[in-house]
Amino acid sequence: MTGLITPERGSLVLRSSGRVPVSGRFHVRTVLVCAALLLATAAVTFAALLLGAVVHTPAEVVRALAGDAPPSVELFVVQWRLPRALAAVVFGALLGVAGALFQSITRNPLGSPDIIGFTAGSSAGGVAVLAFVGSSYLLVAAGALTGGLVVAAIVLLLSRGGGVAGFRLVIVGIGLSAMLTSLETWVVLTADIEQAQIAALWGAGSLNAVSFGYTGPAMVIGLVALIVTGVLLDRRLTLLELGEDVSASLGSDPGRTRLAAVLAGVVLVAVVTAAAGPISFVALAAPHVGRRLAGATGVCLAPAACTGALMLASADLAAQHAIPGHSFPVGVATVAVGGLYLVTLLIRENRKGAL
Amino acid sequence: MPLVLSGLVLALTVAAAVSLFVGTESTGAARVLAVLTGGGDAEARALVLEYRLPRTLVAVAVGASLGAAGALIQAYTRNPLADPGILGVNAGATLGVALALVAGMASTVGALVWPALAGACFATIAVLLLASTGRGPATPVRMTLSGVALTAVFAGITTAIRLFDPATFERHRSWVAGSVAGRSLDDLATVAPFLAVGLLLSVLLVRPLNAIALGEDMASSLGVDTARTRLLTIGAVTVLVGASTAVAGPIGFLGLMAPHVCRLLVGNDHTRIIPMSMLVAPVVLLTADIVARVIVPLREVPVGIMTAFLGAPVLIWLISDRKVNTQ
Repeated sequence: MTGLITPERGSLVLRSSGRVPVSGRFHVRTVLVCAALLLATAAVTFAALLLGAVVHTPAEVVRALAGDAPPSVELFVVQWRLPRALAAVVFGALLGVAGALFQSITRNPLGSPDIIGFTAGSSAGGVAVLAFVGSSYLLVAAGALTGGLVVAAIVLLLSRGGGVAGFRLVIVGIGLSAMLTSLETWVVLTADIEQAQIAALWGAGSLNAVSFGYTGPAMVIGLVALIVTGVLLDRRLTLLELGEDVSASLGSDPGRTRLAAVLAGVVLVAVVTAAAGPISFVALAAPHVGRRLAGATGVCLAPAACTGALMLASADLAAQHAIPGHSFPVGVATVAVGGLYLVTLLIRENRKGAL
Repeated sequence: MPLVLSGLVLALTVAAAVSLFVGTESTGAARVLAVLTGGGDAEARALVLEYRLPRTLVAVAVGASLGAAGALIQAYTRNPLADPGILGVNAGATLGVALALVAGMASTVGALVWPALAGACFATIAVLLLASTGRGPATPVRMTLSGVALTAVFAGITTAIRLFDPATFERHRSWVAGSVAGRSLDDLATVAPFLAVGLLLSVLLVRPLNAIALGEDMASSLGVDTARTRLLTIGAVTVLVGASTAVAGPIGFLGLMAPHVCRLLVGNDHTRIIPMSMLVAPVVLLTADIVARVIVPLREVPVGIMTAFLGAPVLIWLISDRKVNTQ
């Protein structure tokens, strides 16, 4: 077995022959940026473990994580704060990747699941299940997944042959989102006030209800889906971005790549939505920011995932502690901040004359 | 043209009449007729005169205003996808109302008119500014996206306020779906002056807007003061949408649909489209409201939800088959 790592203009190329031949190319800046993002995410997560109604010292938190702390400290840190902090990281990564997938296949920087209606579909499916069936995670997840897939199918069907950089896709998505949102409003309206508050909280996108029992499966399923997506689709999507013909001639069927990417994206969004409700705009912004930081071209799933994780972790920390005494759903923070991001994105695209 | 006009007036009369007869609770047609001719039993009188009649009148007034606002904004922006709901004006008014409620203002229509107007005005100006930044004209797609972005910001803040204060949530949630049910004649009287001013302005703006349809340069050379027209149009849209939203909550897509129906009926002339939208929109709103009363047994659907279900397909239909030039 021989391994060889050679530097090559901004990249490291790995070649290894042996029983399992491996080869790969790593963009050095991407790797460094991802590492820095992960470090920052870890710092934010640690802060999330420290802060709360009872503020702990870093030493106490470390001991609690290692498993030898007084039960009261362990209750706060491991039982209550850790699930939420981890969920923010994992869900952020999932949303970032989902956004990168959709933006890549629609070839449109605005083609995130929030804007083309998939998030609204998942959310409507979830709310319907919450209101009429029950609130166990698997049920809500099934509802969210069904809603997401149905809306994905309708949007893609209606916007067929849209051409023009997928603008028809965006408008169709906006129309469908409007219908689904009004449907949700009605469900909230007909429920009694307590249920309505729960549904409204869920509909705003919140990590409040997170515990290992409820979202453990979501995190596991999501991480598996994430890794499978990364391994199978990253390269194929990069090929697809070079054009359908190039992709086909290099042995990757464009139609199948696109279908797989849509399915993967819907699954990722639905997993998050079912656990935490619709969290908007992370999927829109994370891929752009990640790509800029990494200074790379192409799909950039890894930077999108790391940026998404950092974004959602920070947003949740801010939503919990920015205003003392009030804990907001994280979705409220991401909608307001993400809406502003969309505004700046539009201004930038307008300057380029792209729209 | 006279044929279409009389047809619309007839349709509006029929819709208004049906609106008095149909409800969640079925009242015999004979009892309603007795009330209308000045007699009738107490229960039927209460139902028809205190509930259905004000509701019908509110639907007509709000419908006419939103139809006119949609026609104005489509004519002025030369954007067939424009609609107060899509462009975020409704969301702005909603935010204004939420802020007013959390500041402790009464939840009566009279108290909410000004905050709704302020929110609508802010949103209208913000969306027009945002869409016209940078190079090139404010295309329909740019405007729609600007509306979506601003709606997101406004809605995020509104949600935060609602969750901050459960009492506001309770008062706000019935309002936020958009409905004409349970409104009184006093509510209507409070907003009537605003609506009247807005409708009058829209009629006066018909000719300048027709000239602007040819392009701003052409309009100036035809003697139209484009700056004044812009100011008046924004003012009229703000007053119409703000006052309608104050009384009925956010009702989307009506302003999108009505002008397109008119365009199919009478062609591309704003001197006809704008007044006709004032007739078509109330017919659509009344019909939607009547259906909303009976579509789910014993449970009323707010009419704002019905209009979203009618209007979103219209939006999708407009964008398909290149009926709208997106570039």
